[in-house]
Amino acid sequence: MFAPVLWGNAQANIKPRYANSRICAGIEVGSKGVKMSVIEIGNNAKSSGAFYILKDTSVNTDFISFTPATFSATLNGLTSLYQTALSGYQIPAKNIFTVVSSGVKMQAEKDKKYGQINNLTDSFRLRINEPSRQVEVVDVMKEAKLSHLGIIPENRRFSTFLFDIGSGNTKGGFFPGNDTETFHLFQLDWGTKSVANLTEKRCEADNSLPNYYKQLARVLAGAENTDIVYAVNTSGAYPLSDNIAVSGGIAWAVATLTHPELIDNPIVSVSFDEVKKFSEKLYRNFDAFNAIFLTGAINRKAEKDAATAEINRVLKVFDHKALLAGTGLMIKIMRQFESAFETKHFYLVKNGQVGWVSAYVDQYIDK
Amino acid sequence: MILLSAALVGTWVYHLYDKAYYSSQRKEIFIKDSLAVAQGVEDSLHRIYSLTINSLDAKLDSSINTEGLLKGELNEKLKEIYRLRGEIAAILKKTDAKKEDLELARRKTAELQTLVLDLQSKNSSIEEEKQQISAVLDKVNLQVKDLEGGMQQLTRENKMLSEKVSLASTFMSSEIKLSPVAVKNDKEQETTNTNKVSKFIISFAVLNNISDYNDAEVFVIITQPDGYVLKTDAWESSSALQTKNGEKKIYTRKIKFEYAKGEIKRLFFSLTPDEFQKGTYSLQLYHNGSLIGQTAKTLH
Repeated sequence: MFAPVLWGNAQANIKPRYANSRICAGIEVGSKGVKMSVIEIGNNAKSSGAFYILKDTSVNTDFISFTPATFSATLNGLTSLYQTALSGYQIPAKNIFTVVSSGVKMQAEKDKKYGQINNLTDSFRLRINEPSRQVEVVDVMKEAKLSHLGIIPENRRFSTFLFDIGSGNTKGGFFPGNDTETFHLFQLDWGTKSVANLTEKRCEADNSLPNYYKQLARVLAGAENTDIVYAVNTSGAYPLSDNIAVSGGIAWAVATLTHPELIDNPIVSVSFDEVKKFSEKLYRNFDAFNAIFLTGAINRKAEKDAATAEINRVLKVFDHKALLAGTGLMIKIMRQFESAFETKHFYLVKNGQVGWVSAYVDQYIDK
Repeated sequence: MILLSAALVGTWVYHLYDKAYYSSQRKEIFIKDSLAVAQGVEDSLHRIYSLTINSLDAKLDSSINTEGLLKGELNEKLKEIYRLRGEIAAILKKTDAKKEDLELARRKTAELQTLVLDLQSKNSSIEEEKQQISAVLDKVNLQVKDLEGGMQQLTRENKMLSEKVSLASTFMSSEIKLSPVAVKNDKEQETTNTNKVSKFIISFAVLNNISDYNDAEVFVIITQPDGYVLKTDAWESSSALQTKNGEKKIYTRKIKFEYAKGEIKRLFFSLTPDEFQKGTYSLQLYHNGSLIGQTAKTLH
C-alpha cells in the first residue's frame, strides 16, 4: 500500500527501528506554537496500531494572540520546520502533513480572526513554493476522528472508545456502527490544567498539599456530577465499547510512571484499580516516583536509560499537583466504564498527540 | 510535871514536824512520779511511732510503685496513713501534752500500726498476685509462641502446598515449534533464509491433568537476535507478564483459551513482523508465571 522511503545520508540523525518502515512528518499549528513530529510507521501499523516518534520539535509562537508579531513568528516556525523535514530529514513532501489545530480554529472564530489563518496558510504555500500544499484547518470532530483512525488498529476500530485529556478540555469519541462514516463525538470542558487551576483557586491562602487534595476531590466531584456522568451517558459509548483508550499528556505520564518496564510500548494496558492506587500513591508517597527507584527492576541498560529519561521528562512536564489533577480527572471518566458486571479493558496511549499523522498517512498517501 | 509537859509538847512538835515532813515529801514524790510516767509514755510512743514510720517509709516506696488497678484504693489508705502520721507528730510535738492527748496519740499510733500492717499484707498479696499473673502470662506467652510457630509451620506448609497445586495446575508443553515460512503462490514453505521468510508460524500443545480453565492464559515471548522482544501488536502486548520470582517480562503474545483437564490442547498462530533479522530467535512459553517450554530458530 505504501511505497518504502529511501534513505540518504542526511537522515543519519533519524534512527528508524525498521529498515522497511515509513517515515512521515506531521506539522501542526497549535494555540501555543508550531509542533513537528517525525514518526515511523511500520508495515503492520494498521493492524498493530504501532507507530513510534523519532523526533518531536516545537517552536513557541503564541499564534492565537493574532498579532503581527505572533503571525510572523508562526509563519517562520512553520516554514522552518517544513524545510527541516524536507531537506534535513529528507522526508518526501507527500509524507509531510501540515494542519491547523481545532483549538486555533475555535479561537479564530471566537475573535473573528479567521482571515489570519487563511493569510498564514497562503503565505506558507508561497514561502515553500508549493501552491497546492494542503494545510487543513481541522475542527474538533475531525481531530477526534483522525485520532481514532490513527491510533486505534482496525481490529479494534468499532469496539474502542478513545478520549484525549488535554490541558483545557477532553475530547474523543467512537464509531457506533460498522463503518467509519459516522463518528460520535465526546466532549468535556475539563482538562488537566482547568481542573488544576480551579483547585488552586479553591485553595485560597492554604497552598498545602492536604488542602489541595481536599479541594481537588471537591472540584472533581463537581465535574463528575455536573458534566462527566452526563457526557458519558449521552455518548452511548458504554454499551458499545469493550476497550477504553485514553490519550493525552496525562495518559503518557501515568503509563510511564506505572509501567516504566514497558518503555518501548506505545500502548500500556492498565486496570481501573491500578490507576486508583497510583493516584493514592501520588498523594501519599510522591518521593517514590523517581527514576532510580522506578527503573530498579529494568535490567537492560538501553531500556533503563530510556525509561530514566522519559520519567524525568514526565516529572519536568507535570508537577506533583498537576499529576494529581490529571490523574483524578482520568479516574472520574474511567469510573463511568468500570462495572462489576462487565469487564472493560483500559489502555493508555502514549503518543496520542500525533495519532492524526498516522491517520493522514492512511487517508492521503499514495492516492 | 514540867518535864512531862515538855516531853508531851516535844512529842507533839515532833509529831507535827514529822507529819509535815511526810506530807510534804509525799506530795513531792507524787509530782515526780507523774512526770516520769508521762515522759516514759511519750518516749515509748516516739519509739513505736518512729519504728512504724521507718518501716512505713520503706514499704511506701514499694507500695507507691505498685501501680495498677489497686492504685485508687492504695491512695486512699496512704492518705489515711499520712493524716494519722501528721496528727500523731503534732501531738508529740506539744510541750504541754496532757494525759488525754497522749492517750489519743496512743490510739492513733495503734490505728496507724494496723493500717501499716494491712498495707503490708495487701502489698504482699499484690506481689503474690503479680507473680501469679506473671506466671500465667509466661505460660500464655509460651502457648502463643507455640501457636505462632504452628501457624508459621502451617503457612509454610500452605505455601508449599499451593506452590505444589500451582505447579501441578501449570500446563506441561510439548511439540513447540517456531517456523519461519515463505509464502509463494499461496503455499507456505518453511525456510531459514531471512530474505525469503514472510512470517513466523508458532505452534505448541499444552496439557494438564488436574485443572479446568475457563480463561487460560499462555504467554509467548519471542526474543529477536538483537535481544529485543518481538512485538507485532502494540495492543496485544500492552502489559507485562509477572513471573514466579516477581520479575516483569515483556511478551509477544498472550493466548487465551478455554481448557478442560486432561485435554491435549494444540495452539497455533502466526506473526508477521516488520522485518526479519539474521540470527537466532528464541521462543519461551509461560503459564502461571512459570516457564513451561522453549525453543529457538536461526535465520541465515
